[in-house]
Amino acid sequence: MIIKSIALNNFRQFKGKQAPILFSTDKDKNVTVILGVNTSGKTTLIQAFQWCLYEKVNFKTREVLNIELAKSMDLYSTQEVYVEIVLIHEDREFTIRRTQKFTKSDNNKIKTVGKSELKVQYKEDNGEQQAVPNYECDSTINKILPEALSDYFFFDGERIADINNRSDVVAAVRGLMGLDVIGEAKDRLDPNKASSVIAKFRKELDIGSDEKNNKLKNDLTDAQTKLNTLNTRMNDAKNEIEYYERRKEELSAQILAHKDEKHNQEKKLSLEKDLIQITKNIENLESRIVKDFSAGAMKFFATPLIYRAMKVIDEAKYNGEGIPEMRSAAIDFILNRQKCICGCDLSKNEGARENILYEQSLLPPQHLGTILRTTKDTYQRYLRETQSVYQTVLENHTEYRNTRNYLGEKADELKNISAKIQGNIDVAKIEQDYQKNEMILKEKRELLVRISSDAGAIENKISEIEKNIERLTIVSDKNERLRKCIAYGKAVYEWLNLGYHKQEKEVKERLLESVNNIFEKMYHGKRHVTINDRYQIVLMTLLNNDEVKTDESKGLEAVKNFSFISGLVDLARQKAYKGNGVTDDEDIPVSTEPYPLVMDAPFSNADEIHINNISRIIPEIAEQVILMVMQKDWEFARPALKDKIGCSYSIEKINNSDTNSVIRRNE
Amino acid sequence: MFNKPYLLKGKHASYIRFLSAQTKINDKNAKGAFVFRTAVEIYKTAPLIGLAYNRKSQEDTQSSDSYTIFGDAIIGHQADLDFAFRLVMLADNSTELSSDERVDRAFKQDEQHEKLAQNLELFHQYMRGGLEWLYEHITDGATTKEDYLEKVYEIVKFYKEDFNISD
Repeated sequence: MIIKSIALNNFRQFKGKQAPILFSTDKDKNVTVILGVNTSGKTTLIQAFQWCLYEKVNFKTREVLNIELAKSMDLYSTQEVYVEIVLIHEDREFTIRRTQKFTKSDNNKIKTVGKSELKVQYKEDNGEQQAVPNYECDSTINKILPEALSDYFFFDGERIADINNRSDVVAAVRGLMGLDVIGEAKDRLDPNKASSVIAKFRKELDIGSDEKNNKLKNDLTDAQTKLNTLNTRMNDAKNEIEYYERRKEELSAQILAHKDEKHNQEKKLSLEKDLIQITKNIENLESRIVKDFSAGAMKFFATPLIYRAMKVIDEAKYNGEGIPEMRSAAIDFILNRQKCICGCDLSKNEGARENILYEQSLLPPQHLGTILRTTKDTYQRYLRETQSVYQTVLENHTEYRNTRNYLGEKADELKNISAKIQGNIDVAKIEQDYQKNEMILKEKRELLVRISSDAGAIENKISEIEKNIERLTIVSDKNERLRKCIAYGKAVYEWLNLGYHKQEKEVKERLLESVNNIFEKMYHGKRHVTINDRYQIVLMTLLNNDEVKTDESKGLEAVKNFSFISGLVDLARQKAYKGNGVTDDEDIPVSTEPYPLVMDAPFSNADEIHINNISRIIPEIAEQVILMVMQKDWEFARPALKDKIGCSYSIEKINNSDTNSVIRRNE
Repeated sequence: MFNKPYLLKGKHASYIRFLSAQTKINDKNAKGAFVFRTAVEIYKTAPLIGLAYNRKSQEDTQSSDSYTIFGDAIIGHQADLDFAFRLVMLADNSTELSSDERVDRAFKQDEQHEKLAQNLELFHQYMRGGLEWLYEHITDGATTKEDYLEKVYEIVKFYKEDFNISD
């Protein structure tokens, strides 16, 4: 940042519109000196910068309106105060103007009218002015020169003693070196902080849904595995069904083709059974023929002889009746004893003897007439029975012949059928196979239905799981993004943290080096400086080879603080010129640029040697130096600065008034 | 009479064995026509056939074969054998006997041993003749069981025709 000019209107002592103070922007003659007596308004100028940029003032009376003007204001009239600074920042010219209106109220009190108005404009490359929107004005100024740093570049020499003891020195150094941005970024990302971005991401993570999602994914994998298994089984079952259907067709075709064969085989079996039965019948019949013939043969063959015998009997004369039960042998006994049962001597009675002999003729051994009659009766009966014998033989013969013929027919039939039968084809076996095939086919079809049903259920389940997963995926995607963000955040944090610490260490080392370098140039003695963790300068002296902290005189303190500020400016300038080269780490972009030193009464507590030293060193270190200085101090500084002065101004009191000064450029 | 075993000799023994089914029972592998159940049934029938066709035959001595019809069998058929014997005695006309003499021969000579022996010899001659006739007709052109049984019908039929036996 280089300040081109500042213009004041009614700001404190500077009543009315002042001609702008144009500061030297020459690189070699980079010092602008503004000379003034006490209370002429040197400090006011510093304040003008602070007010314009940050609306910050250090006066005991905080009014910025010129007192004389305020007093002379009519009731209800208004006056305005403004300060306009023109500066170059990052090669662009900015015009910053703050205006505050005042009015006089009933009781002669001056009141501000509303809030101050800040306008920031910058010059486009084509020369046109471009206004920064109102809401961005403050942030634009802070980008140009952070308010926290402003005290180090717009400072009051009388207060320089405090400069290194301020609590914000750490922030100031870091801000100056561009580390504050990294630090801020680092802090905002710090995973250990509850309010960090990473913590916020973590809070947004829906871990429960992830677990659920994982479970669902596992369930899905399981279900898909099951479905695959079922599909494989289903295909197997289909293939099997296809096989058994083909087999069915084959068997059907075979059965159809062998339908006659089957019939013939059955017929053959039947015939074979018939033949066995007929043969058995024939055997029985044969036995019967023999039996009946044997039983009836004698009677049958007797027939013609019976006729003959009957004729003989009929022709015989034996037809008398004998004494019943008398046997011929009994008569012989009587004849032999020659004595009849009646007592008659048969040897003497021939007539009796003849009668007895006659009786005997009727007897032996049975009465012949009786025998013949009985015999004839028997013959008659036999003749009747003979007819049935013949009938039986005839019938048996007829039946036998018929049965034999029947057997022959059946045998022929069997022969014909057997000739038709193709041989080894077992139609019954084919039919059995067919039935078995039907049974298996039925089982397989039922199995397929079961598997299909199971697969359908699994598919529904998969569909449901996928829907659930889809629902959770939205959450999961968010989680995924958040995890990426967290990972990126952590990585960036680590990167920033590492870079930050590395840079801070380097900054500290460089600052120490720079401050020591400057301190040695300003101060001739045995002391040197160190910087603690809080960026505070500590003066050290070597005593018996030991470093010991030493007390400071006011003068020494001024030198120390000049060294510190100069060190800071030097570092910022080095960095600005080298770009990011202040550290070796080019990964982390750190922006900074040279700063001016605007100092009010810098030499207040310094002796002339120190004034000389400081004056010699400061223009070399700072890009632009603006000195508000009293004439008496200037005398000591001028020899060292004479070649560096680009321009000089004097503040003059009008009519020796403390409330009305004017600034004039010295020729 | 007809109360003891009867021995057939020579071819008649062979014939009766051929015709009797008893043979098959005794020896399963035996060959024969077996058209009578037992030998005794042949024994009581054959004399009637022999007489009907007037065919007598002497005992055969050419062959050493023999066949005994056991006493039990004979006694079992004694009545039929009595009937056959007396019928033959009545109906035989090979001798010039009167009807009374035939009746006597049939019924009155049982106790007269010599006459009885003659009469039985006549009976057995007819029996052998009838047996031969049976054998010849049964085996004529026949070789199988069916043939033999056919022959049974044939001989009955022819006998019926020969002797004009009415139905």
